[in-house]
Amino acid sequence: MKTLIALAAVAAVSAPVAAFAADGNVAINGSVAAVCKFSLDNATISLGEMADGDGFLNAAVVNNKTATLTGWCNGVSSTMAVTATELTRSGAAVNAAGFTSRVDYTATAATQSASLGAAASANDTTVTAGAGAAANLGLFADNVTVTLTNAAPGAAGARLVAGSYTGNVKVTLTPAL
Amino acid sequence: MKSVVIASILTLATPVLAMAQTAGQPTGQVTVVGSVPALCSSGAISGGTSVFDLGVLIDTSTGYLLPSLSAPSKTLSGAFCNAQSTITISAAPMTAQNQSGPVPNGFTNGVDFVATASGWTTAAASTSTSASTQPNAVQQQPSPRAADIVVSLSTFTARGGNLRLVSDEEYRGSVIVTLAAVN
Repeated sequence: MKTLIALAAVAAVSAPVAAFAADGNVAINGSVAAVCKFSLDNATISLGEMADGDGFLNAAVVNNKTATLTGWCNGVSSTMAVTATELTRSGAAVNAAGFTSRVDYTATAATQSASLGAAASANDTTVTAGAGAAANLGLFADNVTVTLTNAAPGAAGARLVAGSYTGNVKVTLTPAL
Repeated sequence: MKSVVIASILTLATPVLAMAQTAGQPTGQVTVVGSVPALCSSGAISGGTSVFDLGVLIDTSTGYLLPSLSAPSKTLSGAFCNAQSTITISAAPMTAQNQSGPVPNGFTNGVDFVATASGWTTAAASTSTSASTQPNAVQQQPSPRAADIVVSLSTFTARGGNLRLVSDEEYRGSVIVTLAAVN
């Protein structure tokens, strides 16, 4: 009887020793942040003389003029948006009936989306302030071609005031996972 | 031992969550530049002719210049300047085109007049072919302007005083209106 009690005790002690032999797990995690960048973020479109012989806007001088930026995004939900600012004359404001110091246009930024397998483009008109609607872009690493279209004087039928004019097109890449 | 392993996993997970984010929004800039040079046009002369036809210049009963001599004005339609500008008017008197030699006493072979260009500036530009100075011949327009310019002739006088005109088939003078952009 006494011997039997001792064996039972040994068995009870050995059971928790077997539980400590289980595997330990080490999880390895990493991440890649969603990033967009322009490797070429600056360009200039020089239009030269914008008026015709009668002083009116020669829209052909503006329309279809292009510039190229280069960039990339690694987020599948990245987007692209354009904010275009009208061409305005440098110097003091001039108010004269029949004349304007402003040239409006539409700017379109276009590139090739790798994840969508198709072209992606966004545009904005200078007629209304603010950015145009953002376009789905996804993954891309390519040139971004900016094209000007729909050039028009700031006032219909108005001649352009003589001077130097400057406008701006901003292309914004927004990274998203 | 088991609790130590769990603690290590939590330590690794914290930076993982921080990295799985999006970066800023890069922008690319395209500057668009152009120019418009200063430009003026005097437009087109209404009626298709640039001639002021005065007809017979004299009172045929006296030989003196008609006191009522006049001619319809001319309009330069569609004139414009896309910058500040000046308008200048100059004129040459009407002179007998075929008469030669000295003019006999009591006669003249010239007709003076005043030419005026209005509609471009607040004060009209004007010139007199009999005056030695022309203080009103040049006027400044401080703004770009598109307008018609009316050119008119007035105040006809026989050159040299109250003289009769030498007979001639053609007396001819001229008026020049110049628009110039000011840079």
